[in-house]
Amino acid sequence: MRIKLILVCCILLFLSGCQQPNDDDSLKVGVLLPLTGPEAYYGQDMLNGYQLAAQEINAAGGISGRELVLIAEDDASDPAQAVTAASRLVSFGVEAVIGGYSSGTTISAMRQFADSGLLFLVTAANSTVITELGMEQTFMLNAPVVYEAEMLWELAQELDTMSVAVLHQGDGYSQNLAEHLQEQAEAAGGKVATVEVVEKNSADVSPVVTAVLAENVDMVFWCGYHADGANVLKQLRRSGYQGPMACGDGAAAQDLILGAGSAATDLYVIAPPSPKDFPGGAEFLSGYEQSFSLEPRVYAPLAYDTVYLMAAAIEKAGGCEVSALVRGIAEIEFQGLTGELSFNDRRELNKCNLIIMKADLTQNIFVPWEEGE
Amino acid sequence: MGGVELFLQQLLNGLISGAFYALVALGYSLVYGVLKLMNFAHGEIYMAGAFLCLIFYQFTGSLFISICLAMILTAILGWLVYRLAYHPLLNSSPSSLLITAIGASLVLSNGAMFLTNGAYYFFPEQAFSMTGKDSLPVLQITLLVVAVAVMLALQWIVGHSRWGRAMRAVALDRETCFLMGINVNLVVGMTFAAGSALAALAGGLACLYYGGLHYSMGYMMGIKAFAAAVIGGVGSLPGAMLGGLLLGVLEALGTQWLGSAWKDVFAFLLMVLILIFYPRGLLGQQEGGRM
Repeated sequence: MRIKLILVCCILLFLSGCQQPNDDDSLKVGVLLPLTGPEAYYGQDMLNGYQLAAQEINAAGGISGRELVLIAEDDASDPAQAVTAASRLVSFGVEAVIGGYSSGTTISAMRQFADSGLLFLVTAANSTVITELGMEQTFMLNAPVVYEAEMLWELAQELDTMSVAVLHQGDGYSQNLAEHLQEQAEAAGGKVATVEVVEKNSADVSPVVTAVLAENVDMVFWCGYHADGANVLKQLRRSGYQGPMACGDGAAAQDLILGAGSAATDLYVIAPPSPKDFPGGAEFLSGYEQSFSLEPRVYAPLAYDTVYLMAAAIEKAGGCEVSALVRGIAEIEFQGLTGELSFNDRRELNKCNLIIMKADLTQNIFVPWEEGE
Repeated sequence: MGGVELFLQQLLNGLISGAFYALVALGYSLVYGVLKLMNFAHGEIYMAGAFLCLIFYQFTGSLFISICLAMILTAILGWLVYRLAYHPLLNSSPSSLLITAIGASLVLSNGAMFLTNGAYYFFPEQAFSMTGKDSLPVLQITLLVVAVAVMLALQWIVGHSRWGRAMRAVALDRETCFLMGINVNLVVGMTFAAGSALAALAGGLACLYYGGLHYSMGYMMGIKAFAAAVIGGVGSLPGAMLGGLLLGVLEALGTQWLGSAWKDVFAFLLMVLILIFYPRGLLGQQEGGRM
C-alpha cells in the first residue's frame, strides 16, 4: 500500500514537472483558444498563426534575447471551461496572454488575467462587452461588433431593404451583434420584423425558417457562426426565400459558401480581407502552408499580427511589467500584416479592419464588394 | 402566409424533426427495455451513423446503398459498444453503468473529433436536390413514410417474431432466460445492434434533409431523444414514437408562437411535467415486462 502511494506521488511529481519547462530564461505566453468543441477548427487555425509568428521570432533571436514559448489551453468554446483554462495558464506562470476566439469564453476568462496583472491581447472575439468591462490590460485586435452592425445596416440601406429578420445564436458574440443591429435599425427608422434564435448545432431550423418567411422580410441578418449559417441559408432558400443574407465576421469562412452550396447566392459577410490582399500576404501564405500543410483561415493573419504586436510591446517596455506594456501598446502604431494596429482609449482598434464581401459562386470564395454592384 | 397555412407548415416541420427524435428514442427504449440501462452513448451512435452514411455516399454515389451499409456498420459499432463498455459491468451497480455510458459517449465523440479534425462536413447537394422548391414535399413525405414504416416494422418484430419474444423474455427476467437456454448475450447484443441501426437511419436521413455533419451533433440529439423516450414512457416502443413526434411538433409550434429562444426549453419542460404527473411516461406500463 505504502509503496503504491509513493509510486503515485512520484508519478504525480513527474507529471507536474512535465508541465513546467525548467528553462527559466524562456518567455512563457499563455494562449486561450477553443482546441476541442464546435469551434476547434478555427481555434487550431489561430494557434497555427501564433505558432508561425513565434517560430519566426525565435529563429530571429527571440524577444529581447528570450525564447518565446507558447502554452496553449483549451476553452472548448465553453465559458465555464474557459475559467479553468485561465486558472491553469496563470498557474503555469505565463507573463502575458493572447487568444480569444468566441466572446463568451473571452469574457469569462478575462477577469482572472486582470487580477493576475497579465496583458491580454484578444485576437478574434469582438463583443463590445469585452471592452465595456473596462479592464485596462485587455486590448481587442478585431473591430468591435458595433462597427459590424453599422456596416451591415449600411449594406441593408444600400440594397433598399424594407424589413429585415435578425437571427442569432444566443452566445456572447452573436447576441451582442444582434442587439447592436436592432439599435442601428431603430436609430435609422428601419424595421426589424422578427428576431429569432438558432441554437448551436441544431440541425433542424425549419420552425425558425417558417417563422421568418411568414414575416415576408426582404433581408436576413445572420449573427452567428458559419456552420449553422450554411444550414439556415440552405433551408431558407429551399423554402423559397430569395432575398439577400448578410452575416457578421463569425460566419466569414469559405465553409459557409461550401456548406450552403448553390444556396449561397446573394450572400454577404463582414470580414477581414483575405491574406492574399495584404502587402506581404504571399509570404505569410507560403510560410503557413509550409508549416501546417493547409490553407490559413479567417483569423490566422490577425493571430500572426497579435504575436508580433505583443513582441514589439514587450521589447519596447523592456519586460512584461503590465503597466509599462499597457502604456506601450496604447502609444504603439504597429504596422502588421493586416494593416495598422493602433488603439483608442477604449482599447479598441482606431480603424475598422473589416470590409463587406460577397460570395462569388464561380470560385466559391468571398470577394470584396463594391457599392452599386 | 395565412394562419392555417402557417400552422400546417409548422406541423409538418415538427412531424419531420419528431420522426428523427422518435427513431433515436426507439434505440433508448429498446436498450432500456432489456437491460434497464440508459445508453447515453446513443446520441454518438447517431453521429457515427451519419458520418458513415456520408462516407459510403462518397464511394458509392447511391443514397439507398449508403444508408443500408451505414446501418449495418453502425449496428456492429453498437454491438461493440455493448461488448466493450457495458457487458463487463452488467452485474455491477447501476451508477457504474451510468458512468460507463457517459464514458463511452465521450470516447465516441472525441474519437470522431480526432478523425474529422473538428471540421464541418456537408452532404453533396446532388444527393437530393435541395434548392428546388418542388422536390421538397416529395423529400418530406419520403422521410416521414420511411420513418413510420421502420417504426411499425420494429413494433411487429418485437411483438410477433421469435427474436421479439426472446427480447421480451429477457426484459422480464434475464436470469430465468439464461436458465431456460436463451442466449441472453446474443439477444442483448442484437438489441443494441437494432437500436444503433435505427439511429444510423435517423442520422443519414437527418443529414440528407438538414445538411451539416459535425462530431458534436450527437449530443443534443441524444438528449432530445432521451427526453422523447421519457415523455413516451421509457421502455415502451409506441411511447418512444409518440414522445418523439409530440416533442417535434411542440418545438415547432412553440417556436412559432412563443419565440425560438424557448425552443429547447419545451423539450425539457415537457419532460419535467411528464415526470411529475405521469412518472411512467404517457404510454409507460407497470414495472417489469414493458417493452
